[in-house]
Amino acid sequence: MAIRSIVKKISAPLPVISVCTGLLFALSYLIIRSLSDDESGELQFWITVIGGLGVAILVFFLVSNGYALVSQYRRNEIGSRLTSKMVLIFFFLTVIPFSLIYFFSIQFLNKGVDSWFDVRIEQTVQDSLLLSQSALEGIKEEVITDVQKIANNIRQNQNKPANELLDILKDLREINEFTELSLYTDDGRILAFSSIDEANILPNTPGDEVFTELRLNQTYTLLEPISETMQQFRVVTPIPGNQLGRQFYGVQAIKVLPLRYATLASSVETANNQYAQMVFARGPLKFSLIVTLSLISLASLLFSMLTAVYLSRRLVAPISNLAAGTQKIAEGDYGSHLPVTSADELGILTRSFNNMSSKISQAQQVALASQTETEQQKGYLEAVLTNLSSGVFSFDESERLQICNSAACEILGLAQESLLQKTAAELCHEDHHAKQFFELINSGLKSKQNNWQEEITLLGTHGRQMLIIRGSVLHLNNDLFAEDSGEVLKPLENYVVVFDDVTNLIQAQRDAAWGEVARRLAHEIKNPLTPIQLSAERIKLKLHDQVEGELQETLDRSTRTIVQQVESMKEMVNAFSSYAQPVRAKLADLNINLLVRDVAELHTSSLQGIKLVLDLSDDLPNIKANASALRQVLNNLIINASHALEDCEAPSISIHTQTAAKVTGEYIDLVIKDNGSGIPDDIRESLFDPYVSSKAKGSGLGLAIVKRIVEEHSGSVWTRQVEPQGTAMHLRLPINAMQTYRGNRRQNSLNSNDVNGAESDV
Amino acid sequence: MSIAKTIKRLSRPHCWQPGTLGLLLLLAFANVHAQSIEYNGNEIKIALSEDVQAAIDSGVSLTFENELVHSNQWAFFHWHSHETIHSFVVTRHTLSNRYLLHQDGQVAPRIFSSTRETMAYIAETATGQFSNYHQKWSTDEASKQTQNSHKMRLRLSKTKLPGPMRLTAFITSAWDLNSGWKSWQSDQ
Repeated sequence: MAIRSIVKKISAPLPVISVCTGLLFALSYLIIRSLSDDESGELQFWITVIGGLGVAILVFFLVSNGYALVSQYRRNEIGSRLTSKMVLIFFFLTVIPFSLIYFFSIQFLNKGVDSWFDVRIEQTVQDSLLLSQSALEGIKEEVITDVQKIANNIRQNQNKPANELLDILKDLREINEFTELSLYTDDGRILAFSSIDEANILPNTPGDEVFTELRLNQTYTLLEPISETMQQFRVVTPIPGNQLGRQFYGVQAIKVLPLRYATLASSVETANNQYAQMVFARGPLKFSLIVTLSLISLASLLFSMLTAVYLSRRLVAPISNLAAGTQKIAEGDYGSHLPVTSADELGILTRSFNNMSSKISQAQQVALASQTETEQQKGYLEAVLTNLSSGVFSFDESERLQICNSAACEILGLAQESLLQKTAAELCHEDHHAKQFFELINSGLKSKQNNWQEEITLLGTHGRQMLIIRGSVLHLNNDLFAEDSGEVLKPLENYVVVFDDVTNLIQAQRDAAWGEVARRLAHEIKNPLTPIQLSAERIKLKLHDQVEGELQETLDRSTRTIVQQVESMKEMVNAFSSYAQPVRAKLADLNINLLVRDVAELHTSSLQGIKLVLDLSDDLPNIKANASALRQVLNNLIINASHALEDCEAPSISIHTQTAAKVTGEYIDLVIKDNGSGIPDDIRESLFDPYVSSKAKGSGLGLAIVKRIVEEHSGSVWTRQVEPQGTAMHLRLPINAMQTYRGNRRQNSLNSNDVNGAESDV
Repeated sequence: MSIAKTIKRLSRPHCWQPGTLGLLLLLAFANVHAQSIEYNGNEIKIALSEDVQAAIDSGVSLTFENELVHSNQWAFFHWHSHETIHSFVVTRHTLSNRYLLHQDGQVAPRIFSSTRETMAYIAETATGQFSNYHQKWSTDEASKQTQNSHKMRLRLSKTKLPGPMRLTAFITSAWDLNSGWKSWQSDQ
């Protein structure tokens, strides 16, 4: 991490610019020094090394920046694509001109260096060298001739004493203008010498190679430079020896080249050397220049590329910030502020973005507060709807169900998911027990009435239900206007339907009505009956012995009639009271088949001559019911059936139980069928009403009590005519009705103790 | 010779690539330790390469430097003291077709008929110079008390070549005439 941080710091523009500037200066100095021969070679070497290192550093900067850019591109970082495009464009704009300039610079450099070496100049230099050599050769020949003459002279005088010989040498040296003249033996010993410099006590002795040539009887000549501008000829020639066993003597003459000749010769020598050196160094010179030029070009190119990278990043940075800010806003992070780094159009754009972001943040906060408030209100409304005992439906303008509270689902026995988002018409076409209910709602909605009310009795999952439905139209957006155009918005018509299960309420009202009737009957009718009966019996007792004959018979008959009628009226009042009293009992699991068998067994003796057939389903489930109440129902129905079979040729009663599979919800059916005379048409419609009977005797309350008990069990009862003759009484009882739906309604529970035995009266 | 050809080829503009520059830089560092001046016992033998011979025949002055140093050591650290440099400048005299040797800035050169003789003289002189300095330092009382060694190195000075030739000399082994450091212990 530290290394990455260091690399990032040194890859910043300032270090790169510093490196590039130093590099370019160093390389410029190098290219200047490449052309000179001064003593700066060490510095030139180090500048070359530094140049190479500088280029390597720039390459490193470029590679690190390029790698970072590629990494950002792969990570899909914002701005990386735009930066890459701009860098590529800058690269092309940089590389192409640089390549052209570099190519033509190399061409010009080669041509320029080659143009320094002209053939005519080269020929001139060579000619001057040859001329110099020729001139020097002439001088050399003259010196050789002079030295050979001196050798002949010395050979003729070699026998003279040393003093004379020395004088001869001095004279000869002075005559021939030699700098030095010396005589050596064949083994190199000095015999005599004369020098122009009197202070010079030793001669300039030749080397061994000179004596080697003398032994071969050859003359040795050499042009020797003695300083930068002075040159001398050294000529040594042998003298054949003729005494003391010497093979030869050597005479050496040294003659300094005249100053004019020496200067010219030195000039020619220098010019020739310099030209030859230039020719030799032409290749290396080109190489040096090309290397230096390449380093400069490469450094410039790398610097341009790095500048392109930095410029691209700098230009794209505000746009990247804007894109990142926009993305944040799109992700819901409002209120982000971007740094304003410039005062140009991008700066204005960034400031505008910050303003927009602030406003969006404020608006979002307001919307959030509003949403919170709305949710609170919605929660409150849902709580209210949930706790309502009434069912509530809300339909939108397209009559699609939007709200359905739990009470509605509970009343109808339908799942909320099966109702929501369906139109009333769609609900009408679904196959369930509440089809008529929804048809009624649909017609109510279609009526467009502001308020409407309907009643319906359903045989639902909980049994027979009486529902009161009230519908209203909700006119929404009445006061809203479109903000932009000021146009009045069309009011939305939503619908609210509220319905209540009033089954229990009506039952309670009826119970209360009949209770009042019973109370009045007990009070107004039943109470006087006992005194009437007692009075009639007392009359009979007092007058029976006082009258005789027909009068006595009339008295007995009249008092008996009074007593019988009073008894009859008491029974009627008791039966009526039994009907009117609300039955109260707790429900328990009941096997209806067992109950049927018990009742049938009980009536076996009383149904002499009547065939009793039991057709009971084996898989009949237990139901929640009051056994005593249902036993009374079965008794009433069997007795009624037996009464209907009087005067019948082959009387029979069949009892059939089964599960009512075709009806939504779980019910059982209990059918008691006879082949008797049937129900008269005039009482068929009011058969289950109180005081309706086809027989002279009877209170007319038996079937009414049956109907009341069945309804107390949330069931239903109806009759059906049987072909060719007879009647079938259908009872449909819910398997599990009271505990789930009316379990909280204590007043609906049945109490068999309160049920007085109602007599069959049909 | 192949290196010279390579340089010539690289001098062509169309062959020059930045990658070649890097390669040459590597070559420069790779050839630092090449030696064409060898020790044979206590004698030195100098063998000029063709490129150097051609250069001197073309009038290029060659400067050989004989470095004599007193090497000190402390722990793992080495450093030189009493450094003395003797220079030998070899040039060719075209008019006389002789090789001139200017030693330590002397005006009057020594004259040789061939580079072989010249190099032999330089080698002999350098060895003699080292012997003289070694004898001098060996008798130095201060030097006797330390574990020191005396070193010499004879090499062609590339930095004193003509400017255009320096870069080539730096990166080609043909110009790398260097004996390397030769040590003698104090008691030698």
